[in-house]
Amino acid sequence: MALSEETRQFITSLIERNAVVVFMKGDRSFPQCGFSARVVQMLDGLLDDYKTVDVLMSPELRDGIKEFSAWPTIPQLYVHGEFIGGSDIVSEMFASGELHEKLGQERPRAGRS
Amino acid sequence: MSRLQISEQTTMGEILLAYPSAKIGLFQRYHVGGCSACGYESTDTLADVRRTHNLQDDLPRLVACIEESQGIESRLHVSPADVRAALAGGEKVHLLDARSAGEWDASHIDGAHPIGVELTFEILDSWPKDAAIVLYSNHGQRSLERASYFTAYGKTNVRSMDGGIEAWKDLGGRVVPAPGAALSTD
Repeated sequence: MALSEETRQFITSLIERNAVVVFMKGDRSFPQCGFSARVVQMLDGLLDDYKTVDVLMSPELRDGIKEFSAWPTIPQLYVHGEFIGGSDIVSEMFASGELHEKLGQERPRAGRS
Repeated sequence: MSRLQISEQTTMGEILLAYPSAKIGLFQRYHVGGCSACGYESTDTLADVRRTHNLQDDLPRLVACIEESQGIESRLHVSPADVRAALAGGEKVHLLDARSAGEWDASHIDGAHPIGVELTFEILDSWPKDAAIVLYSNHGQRSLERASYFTAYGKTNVRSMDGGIEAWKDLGGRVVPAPGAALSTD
């Protein structure tokens, strides 16, 4: 399913209006996929508020976000309009403290093993 | 109603054929089935799924989850005749087309609206939870899935029209533009 102009505008609007957006399966309180749950778990530890968008609600969005980001999997994290990555990349950035900095938090002093 | 006797050796394909709602029920309760990594193949047995996903519930509880999901699903169905009567009677019903843009362009029910991504999230975020919504697809499968998701998010009055636009046309319902364009299997 090709990325329609409506879907492109919808995604663009979301990442412009929200500092942190996760395109995921399920929502923050009820992730429907282990990878999405992992990203939510990490963000919950760093932020009180962020936007989640359940791609399962819309086939257009489920396919469209992959084309929009040129990234084949879900979840996908955007911070201040910048595509950060999927579950593995977010996990690595969380472990290194880079994610904390991206989100305006202090980088943990001790590295995680 | 389904008469399938579910055992640990019943495949997911057999289960989903008898209980299409099991897809929703299983990942609502166990978070399995949302994606390929968290999902299952149609040839996997229920025992495979239980083992692969480390589900703690025993077989009777799993079967109960599957059977209960059907009760939820049964409330999602509405017949084309009932939809037509409701519209003719002036009831405020949002008739929404759950198919692709191309299918919409080819032919759609008169008075319906396409449910694109914008409208989908507008409904989720700002429509009353009891807003009367009827979704349709070509034969009623895609619309049933969409209706299930809306219900999972707390919408209480979302239905899927049985048989979709094809059943609507069989009933003599009006579509625009004139029918004749090729449709996918659903």
